[in-house]
Amino acid sequence: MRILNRREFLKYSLTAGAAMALSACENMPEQSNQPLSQNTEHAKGRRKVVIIGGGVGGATAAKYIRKADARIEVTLIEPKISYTTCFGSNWVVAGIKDFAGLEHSYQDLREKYGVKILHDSVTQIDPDKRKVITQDGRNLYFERLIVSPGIDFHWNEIVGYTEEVSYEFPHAWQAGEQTKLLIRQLHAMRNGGTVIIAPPRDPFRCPPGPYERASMIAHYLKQHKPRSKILILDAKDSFSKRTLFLQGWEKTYGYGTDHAMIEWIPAAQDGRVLQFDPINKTVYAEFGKQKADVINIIPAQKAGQIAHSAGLTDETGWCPVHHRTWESSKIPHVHVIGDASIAGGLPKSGYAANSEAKVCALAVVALMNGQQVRVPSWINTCYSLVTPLYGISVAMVYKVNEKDEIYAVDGAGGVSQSDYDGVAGNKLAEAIYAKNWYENITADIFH
Amino acid sequence: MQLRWVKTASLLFMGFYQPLAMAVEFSDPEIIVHNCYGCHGAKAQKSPVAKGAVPSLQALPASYIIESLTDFKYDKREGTIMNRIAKGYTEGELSAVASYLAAPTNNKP
Ligand SMILES: Cc1cc2nc3c(=O)[nH]c(=O)nc-3n(C[C@H](O)[C@H](O)[C@H](O)COP(=O)(O)OP(=O)(O)OC[C@H]3O[C@@H](n4cnc5c(N)ncnc54)[C@H](O)[C@@H]3O)c2cc1C
Repeated sequence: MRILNRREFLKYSLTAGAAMALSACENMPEQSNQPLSQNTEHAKGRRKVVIIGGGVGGATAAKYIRKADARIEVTLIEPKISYTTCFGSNWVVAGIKDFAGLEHSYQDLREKYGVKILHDSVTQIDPDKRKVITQDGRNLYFERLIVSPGIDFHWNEIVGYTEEVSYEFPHAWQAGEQTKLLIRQLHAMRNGGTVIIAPPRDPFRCPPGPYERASMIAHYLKQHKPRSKILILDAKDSFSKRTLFLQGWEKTYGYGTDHAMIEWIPAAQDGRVLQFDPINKTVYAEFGKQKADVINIIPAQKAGQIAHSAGLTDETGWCPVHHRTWESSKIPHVHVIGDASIAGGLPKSGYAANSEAKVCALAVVALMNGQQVRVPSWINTCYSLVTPLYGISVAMVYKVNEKDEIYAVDGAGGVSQSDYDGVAGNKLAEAIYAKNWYENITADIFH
Repeated sequence: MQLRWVKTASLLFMGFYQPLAMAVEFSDPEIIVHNCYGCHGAKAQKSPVAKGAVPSLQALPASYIIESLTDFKYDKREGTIMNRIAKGYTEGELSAVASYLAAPTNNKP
């Protein structure tokens, strides 16, 4: 019997929808040990993984591949010198965190884990030659490629909200300058001003995020500009942890009363925003027009640009993958994780991106070493703060069935207990855990 | 030629894959533990905000871990999130997690 070579086998296993390697793969020729070379032809025999995007998914995958098998060379390509987490960014306006506390350097990945960090941007993926091409004109060969580029936006779906306009009216849905600008605008706002938050249609990054943002802004306004008001003009009729948020808002921000600091107008009440006029600081929703002092439109989303140009997306705008390995169902040897991927029931969260990255990392190592891919499982846990001392959470354990579909485990997970006197103390505990979670997840990703 | 390849592969593959398809698979304990690190950290992380609020998973005896996890699973111990998480795994998986965490060579940063 002829022994399968790795490429042919993997090609087959991919189409079969499950990538479990046969022991036959172990008989493959040894990898060459020639010295490192910039020349891709020379480099071909080497065990190289390239990762696009040094965010949650990419950085986690880099670290966990190196931890599992230090003989694999991992190059992480990311244009930014340091990463600013989106999580925790809502907390800055409430004074729980300072902006610098959101930033993480790549030093530990480089020095402790031996990840090669390349500050550059990938412009093209050549799946046949297995190369990525960068903005600075570099060519990098990969045996396997992991793509974790995060999100991009459907500009102008809300007519008038274009990328250019976002530099003046920040979405703040990718952390950094956008976050700073939103906070500056909130600080500059008059007492008695109106803030509009317009959350997008599903699916989008961080489903509870817009509502945590409303909470944190309300906390700030309550102390400094108590006559002000937040209007949430929603493209949807419900949202993540809704009951818990509304309960928290009733308790703290007068939700539902005449003095409510937060008002939520769902799509069913014509809250959906259709158009934006930046000159007059006015949004046009289905119910009519509304002027405001600070306007935070969060546009509808799709996978990061490189995923589209590389042909990794389907008609939904996101990337279909095989969930045991996160290998693209469109392009072999290319794996997609994080917000850009279609992840079954897993939400587009940092916790999920981190969990997906670890499963993907071990699968990539197994596939490269001709070992069996292990049986995966995932966790998502998302904390949100209603006030600095009032936390709520949603959690779930996910597994995969024989058809390669991810499912939420029956009877597990769910949201925090709702608030009655007996468990009110849990809200404080969960607020403490939320802050502790930030420290631990960022350490797990970057340090 | 190419076709024969695929046939051989598919025979091998089916033989390998079929039994797994029928049983509920046992989740890999190392992967489960990796997921725990999202909150607990891979080692004792020093949080300036809430030092040690989420306990470190290092240096705990297997018996303590298995007892805690099964108590959370069956709501004999009250927690915030752990009751919801522990219900996601079988007793066998929880016990494998405990053995993994207690083995000093495994649970390193
Ligand atoms: C306000 C807010 C609050 C949030 N709160 C939470 C929370 O409490 N808990 C939680 O779990 N999640 C939270 N999230 C969600 C979380 O931030 C994302 O789900 C997570 O960042 C997704 O990781 P990712 O790797 O897919 O993308 P990202 O982390 O965005 O990383 C993508 C990286 O890829 C890089 N990149 C893109 N294109 C290229 C290219 N062509 N070449 C090279 N590099 C490229 C980008 O520069 C970026 O650094 C929040 C999000 C927001 C907006």
